Amino acid sequence: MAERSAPKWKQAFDLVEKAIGPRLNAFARSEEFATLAALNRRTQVEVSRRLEHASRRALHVMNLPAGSDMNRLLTQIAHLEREVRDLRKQLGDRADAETLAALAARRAAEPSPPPRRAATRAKPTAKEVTHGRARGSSNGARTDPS
Amino acid sequence: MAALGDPATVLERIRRDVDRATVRTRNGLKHLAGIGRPEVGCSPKDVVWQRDKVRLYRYQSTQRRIRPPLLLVMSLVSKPYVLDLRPGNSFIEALVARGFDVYSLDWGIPDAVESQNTFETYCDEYLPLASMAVLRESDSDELTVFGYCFGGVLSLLFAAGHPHIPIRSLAVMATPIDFAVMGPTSALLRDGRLVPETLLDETGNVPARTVLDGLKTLQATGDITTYAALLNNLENSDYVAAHQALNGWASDHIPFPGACFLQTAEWFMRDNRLAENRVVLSGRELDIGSISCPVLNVVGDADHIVPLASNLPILDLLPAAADVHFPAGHVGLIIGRNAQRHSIPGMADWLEEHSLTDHRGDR
Repeated sequence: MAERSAPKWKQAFDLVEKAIGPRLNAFARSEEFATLAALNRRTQVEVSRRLEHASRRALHVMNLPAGSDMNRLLTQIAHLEREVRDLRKQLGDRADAETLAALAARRAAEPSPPPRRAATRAKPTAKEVTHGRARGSSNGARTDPS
Repeated sequence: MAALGDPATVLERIRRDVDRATVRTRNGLKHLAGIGRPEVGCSPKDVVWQRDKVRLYRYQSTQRRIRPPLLLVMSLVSKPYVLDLRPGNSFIEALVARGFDVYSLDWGIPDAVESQNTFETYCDEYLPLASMAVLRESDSDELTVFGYCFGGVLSLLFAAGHPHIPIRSLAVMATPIDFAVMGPTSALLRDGRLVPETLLDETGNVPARTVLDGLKTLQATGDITTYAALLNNLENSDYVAAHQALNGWASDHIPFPGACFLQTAEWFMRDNRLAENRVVLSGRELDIGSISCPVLNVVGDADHIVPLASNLPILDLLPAAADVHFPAGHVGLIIGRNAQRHSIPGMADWLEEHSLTDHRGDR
């Protein structure tokens, strides 16, 4: 069955995108964009900080808690929860620690095996060659065996 | 004046156009209203281990024939259901059907409590313990580890830092090694033009929105191109469903735990310690080159999130790694028709070649 051709608007869009897209993407990776983004972020942070400071003062005048007070509470609760977690883990981790130690001891007792890497040094499988490129050179450069 | 043709043909054409317009309108409205979204992450699974917010899932199967079990490690900033997006378009479903005993780690959604999580938390605590749980649950002496994106970084650090964990083989896919070449956000942090702490919110994490904005700058026209393609295919309900599933995931990021982000910025973006093999974890100097199991490095040639240049140093760290490229993007390696035809079978072949096959059925 013949494939339906794209409508005119899509063809026009693709043309424009093809012309503009790479330039926009290049700009997004440029020094100029990085500088603008940094400036934007710093401005955002500074504005938020000043707004937060002003609103906190206003709310505290009325003896009301501000968002920053809530955040401080949130941080303290999180800290407490982490401590509870740590305590729970100390109690519950003995079994896992013993298993880990046993594994480590078993590995240490084993004679060192020949490096398994040799297996992957073999020529790439047919699939690797078929579906992609396989690394060929020893200096790490990517090469195409085909 | 152009001939109109016979009335039956004209009527048929009008009927077709009306039908098409109806379907397009219906799909467009459904998309805008967010209704009829396809279900994601549907493969049946059980939680077999849990610690804090981290959950380890084991996927149900009656045809496990490949050993050892396979542990999938996901990135810290995106949800793991991309690995099991939709029936028929799922990496996990394909692996289970192939006979693998598949486990997947879900890091959960971090909040203020997780803001202090560091690489040590993930690589020295969660991953070793999850590995033990996998070994226990599958009654296995070994396991295979598969890391996707930042999950590949975690997997490499974990494997290098825990030589006593019996990893039979390790696969990393779309994994950044040289963070200095990863795009604008990375450049800003590298050059010190942006202080990493300014990206943290009141919970101490990098908000999901900031993560998403950072990724969007990597492909400035990505959104509009995606929507143009959607508009063009609006009468195709399957396309719309696939778009909703994938685009839903792509904008469904999770916060980056603050302490781990600060380490990433300092260690990897500024100091490039991973590419130069100078990572120190819990006071131990890690040597990525000491990973002795077979390693598979999978790269998408069209990956704009983790470009080839960012992944390339892995071949200096692990010269014996099998390095496989596919003509795909970051997600295209596991999602879509090409993934189902090429990259997933290619990866599964390698994993199976480096596994054992038994025919005793489910264990």
